[in-house]
Amino acid sequence: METAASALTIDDFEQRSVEIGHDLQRSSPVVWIDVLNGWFVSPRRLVEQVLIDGETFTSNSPDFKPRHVFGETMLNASGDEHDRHRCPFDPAFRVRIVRERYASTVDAIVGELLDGVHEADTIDLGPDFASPVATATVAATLGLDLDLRQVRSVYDTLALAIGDYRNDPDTMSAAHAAKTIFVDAIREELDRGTAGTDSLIADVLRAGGLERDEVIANALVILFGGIETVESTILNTVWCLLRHPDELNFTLTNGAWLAAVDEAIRVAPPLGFLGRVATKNCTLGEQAITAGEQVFVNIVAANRDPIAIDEPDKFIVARGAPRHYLSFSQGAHFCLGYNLARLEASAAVEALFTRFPDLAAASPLGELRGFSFRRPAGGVRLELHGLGDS
Amino acid sequence: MNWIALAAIEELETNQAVAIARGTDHYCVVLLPGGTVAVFDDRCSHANCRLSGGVVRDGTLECPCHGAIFTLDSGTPIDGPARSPITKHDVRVEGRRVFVAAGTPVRNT
Repeated sequence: METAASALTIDDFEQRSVEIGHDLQRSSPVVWIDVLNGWFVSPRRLVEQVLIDGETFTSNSPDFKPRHVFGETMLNASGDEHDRHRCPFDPAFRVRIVRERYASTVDAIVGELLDGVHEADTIDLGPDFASPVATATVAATLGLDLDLRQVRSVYDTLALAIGDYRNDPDTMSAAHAAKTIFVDAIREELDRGTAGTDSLIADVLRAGGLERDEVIANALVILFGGIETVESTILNTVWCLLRHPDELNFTLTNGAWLAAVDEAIRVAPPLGFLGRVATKNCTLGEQAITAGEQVFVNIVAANRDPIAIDEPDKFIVARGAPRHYLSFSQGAHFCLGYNLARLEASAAVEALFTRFPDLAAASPLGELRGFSFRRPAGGVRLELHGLGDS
Repeated sequence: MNWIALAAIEELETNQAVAIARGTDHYCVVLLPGGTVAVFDDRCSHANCRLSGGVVRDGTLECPCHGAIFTLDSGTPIDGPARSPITKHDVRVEGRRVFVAAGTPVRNT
């Protein structure tokens, strides 16, 4: 590697995450990165170790950004306190419940959006389809009646605060002001009590164990967590399929939409890394870590570790399966929305390619970019009815 | 082989994952339609949650914590976050009594 590992910049990661990941796996499995002010872990085995061992590597840190925005939630709590925050929400996100309760909702949202763009020649996949699918679904999941554009605007304000490593107080103030729209909507749903049989909030109230403010804070986390990650999953899956026509044909022929989503989540994870803090002095691989130091796990690299998977840089739909990736984390903080996110993305991508069989990229597809959130540079513009003869 | 009396069939409910402890050993016991009984360590291979109370459906057991799904015939993970199998034990049903083999987990693949 030309640059000393410790001096890698955010720009380096944004531009060359995959190449850097392979290099670090070979030469610097656990390395201090100055710009992150923390350790960066790339081999799959060590990434799993960090995510599973919640006693040694915690998200329960005063510096954890989502805590500043949302307060105490399942995201940062650990041990029994984590379970108290999360367990009331868990049953509604089980695979059977997700399919029974949300599949038809997702299909309706996807269908309505595609009806709306049917006459268009081209669309910008993110804002015209992927973002509203994700936003409408998560709002429906929580039973919230919100204007989708407003949700997106609030989301962007919150995301700025969570990703603000400069610790700008104005950015945090803006986030707290913006989130009141969400808080008010969740409060309205809370006021309906346990009346709704298919309402997530009603489920949580029935389960008990959380104060109203705690339900609101955790619902905010779900609302936040279900937007950009799902949007990127849809974008990245379409991007992968368009760049690999043989794999798109395989997917169409076999109806392998969920496998395509899973393989895209592996090679193009929406989140490039996850952060933890060491709770005690420990050794990770051969590297000594001191209590209080930040430890970032490199999901991009872990998903492409050649020790764990053959031909890791190839996009092969036939092998698409959750066991091949760590994109939803592992351990106690394994993503609550795992089943819903994959259902949404699978339904959205299938509907898009089957409704528009001549679908094509309207402009050259850029490379995947981003350090934390990863998606195609310049977005994905689609020609819905083919490129014609011109 | 040393067999430990685990339960009477009547104590189990079809397609329910029940927690039964014998000494310090905690088991997750599932009575399947037809009378077959599957017994696992009551510990998920993903994050050590108890498997008892998980959903039994279509020959699978779903961990109540994070939704890892395992086959009942071998304990192999087929969906969700688990990467390793759960530990399954040899079982013998004599009359109405269910016995589990002490300390000899079935080797899962």
